[in-house]
Amino acid sequence: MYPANLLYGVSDRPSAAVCLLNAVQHVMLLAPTLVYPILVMRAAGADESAVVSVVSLSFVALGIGSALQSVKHPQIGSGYLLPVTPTAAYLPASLAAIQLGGLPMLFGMTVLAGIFEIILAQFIRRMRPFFPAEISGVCVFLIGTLLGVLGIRLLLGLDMSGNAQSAATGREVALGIFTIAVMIGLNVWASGRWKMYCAIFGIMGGYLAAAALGALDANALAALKSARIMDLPSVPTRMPSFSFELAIPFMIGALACCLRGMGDITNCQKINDRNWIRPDLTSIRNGIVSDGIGTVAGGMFGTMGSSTYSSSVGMSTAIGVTARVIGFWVGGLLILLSLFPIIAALMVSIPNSVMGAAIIFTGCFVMINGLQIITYRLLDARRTFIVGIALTLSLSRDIFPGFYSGLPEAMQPFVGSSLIIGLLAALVLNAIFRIGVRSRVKLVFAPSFDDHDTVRTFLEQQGAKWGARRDVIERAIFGTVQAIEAIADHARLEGPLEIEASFDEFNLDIRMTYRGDEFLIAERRPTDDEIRDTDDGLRRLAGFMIRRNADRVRSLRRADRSVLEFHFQH
Amino acid sequence: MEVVETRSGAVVIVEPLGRMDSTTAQPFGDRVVKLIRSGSDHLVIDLGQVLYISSAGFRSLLIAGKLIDELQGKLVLCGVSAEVKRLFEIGCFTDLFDICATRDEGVLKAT
Repeated sequence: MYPANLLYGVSDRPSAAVCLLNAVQHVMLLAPTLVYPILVMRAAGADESAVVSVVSLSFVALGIGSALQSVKHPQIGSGYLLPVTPTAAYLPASLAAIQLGGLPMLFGMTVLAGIFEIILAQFIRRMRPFFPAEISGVCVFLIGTLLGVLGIRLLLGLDMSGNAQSAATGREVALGIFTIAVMIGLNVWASGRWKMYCAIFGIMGGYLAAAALGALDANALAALKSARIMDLPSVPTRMPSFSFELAIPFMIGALACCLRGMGDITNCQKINDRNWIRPDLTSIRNGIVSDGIGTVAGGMFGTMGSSTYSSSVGMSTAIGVTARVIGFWVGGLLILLSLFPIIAALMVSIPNSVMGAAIIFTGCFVMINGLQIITYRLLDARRTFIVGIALTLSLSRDIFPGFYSGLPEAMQPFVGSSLIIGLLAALVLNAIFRIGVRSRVKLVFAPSFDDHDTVRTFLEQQGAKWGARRDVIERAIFGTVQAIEAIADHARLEGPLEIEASFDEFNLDIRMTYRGDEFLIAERRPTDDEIRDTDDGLRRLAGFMIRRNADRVRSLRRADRSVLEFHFQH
Repeated sequence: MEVVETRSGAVVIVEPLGRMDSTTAQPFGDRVVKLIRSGSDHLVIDLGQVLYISSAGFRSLLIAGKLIDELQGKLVLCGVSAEVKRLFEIGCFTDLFDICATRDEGVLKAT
């Protein structure tokens, strides 16, 4: 069931006009990420026409990747509207490849990274204990902050170290603020088409204002004027090369893309299902496979590796349009655009401050989605430290870039970006903190007036260690306390009561063992008169409520003990 | 369990604080019955501070409800939290009581 805010859900088929306009919006939104292949090409000494050519080739690879993500197939495609873009996860490795072996090295290693990501996708189920929901949430939240920081950098004209490489003028900053004001204003106060296309209107408004004020980059304008209207993109003919030395940086990049993809696909699942409970691993696995194929395509077409685009998920959430069919329109539009170099040049000419504003806008929604995923489960001290330390280290990467870039070369692949360092920290801490977490625990106590507190403390603490869902733990608390009350009042309890709780990701089971009468669970609700006037009516009401509260209840005798078992689906 | 009583015109508002279980439900029920028998037959029970209600708690509400019906008075519940509302649904009690979102609405309905 779709959440109430969706205008078009994942399986809906909007009109061609809606599909096209939303596809245009997504394509415009991904324009800032073209800065990565542009940076890489300029690092390789390419001139502006070569840069435009690589952007056109990127359109082809991104088109293939975006369309594949929308496929709903048993082996491939997440089945969600989730366009892909060049990713910062591969930027450090790509620059290193350029330095070591030029463009052939970049292309070869990018293909290998894509293959590695496809292999990694096959082990997602086995790696599940090492990727609990809060890790996905940390991933999504870090991506949101990464987008926010990137947006601020672009808006203020700062380099990766936070220095003003070519400081944005007051005019450029004002353009960025104007752009984001248009987007936020339309998103908050407008409705219908104005709300749905707020990102396009914001970017168009910012671009037109920049053109009117003469704030467009001169080199980009020159490339725009000299670009051909229509031309086939030229695929590189050089043979790719490989280096063992670059294996780890590209594998780290692929792992980061895998985790980012897991976070983005989880996010897509969540925003399309009001009753979302946990990540659907099949959809995630298939989406990561598509992601890997998209990166392989990127390498083969002579551009950077790609990854799922969190900003698109954020925008889909903001405007309430998540139909997967739009993903095919995005793919088709991108491939079509590759035939129009002038379009690539136009996108490259959008001012950084305008694109920064767009990224900040969507980053907000991504951050909040990440926080919601993190807090959906109970958090104990272990999980608090996993989330807290991961986020702190991630933030420190952006606040103290000089420290991290000064670390030994061997460490650079592991601290290359805030996302990588935060995720690696979360994964390592999660693996360490799994030590000592038992899946089965026991409590023995004599019923008294503070049963509720005793049971609540016991189950909440254990639930937090397990990372169990809050609502399931609440149901378990009610069922256990109500059962204790009923057993103490009606089952001639002798001595203490033993409560055993066991948990895995899909099941929570409570078993109560005691000396006393077997507690029979009523199938039928007693009448109101029976409840009011008889002790048996009260007992049967307790049993009726216990049965309806759990997903399965069983009462039996074992030797000289009575046993009451509850099962809750998690 | 502490119980707070206030008045709004002819309506008496009773607010239990904490848990309504087999230990606390009997004294609460007795107090409400005493109130009703003393003439306070337009009653609002504000459950906003009730964290948990068991079968015993529902029994005390049923007893109060029946007594007020016999006296042709009005009993309204209000301030039910999401978890307590879930328990009302499990026990099939939602249709048996007038339940309002806020105290003000409850007082209006009980007048």
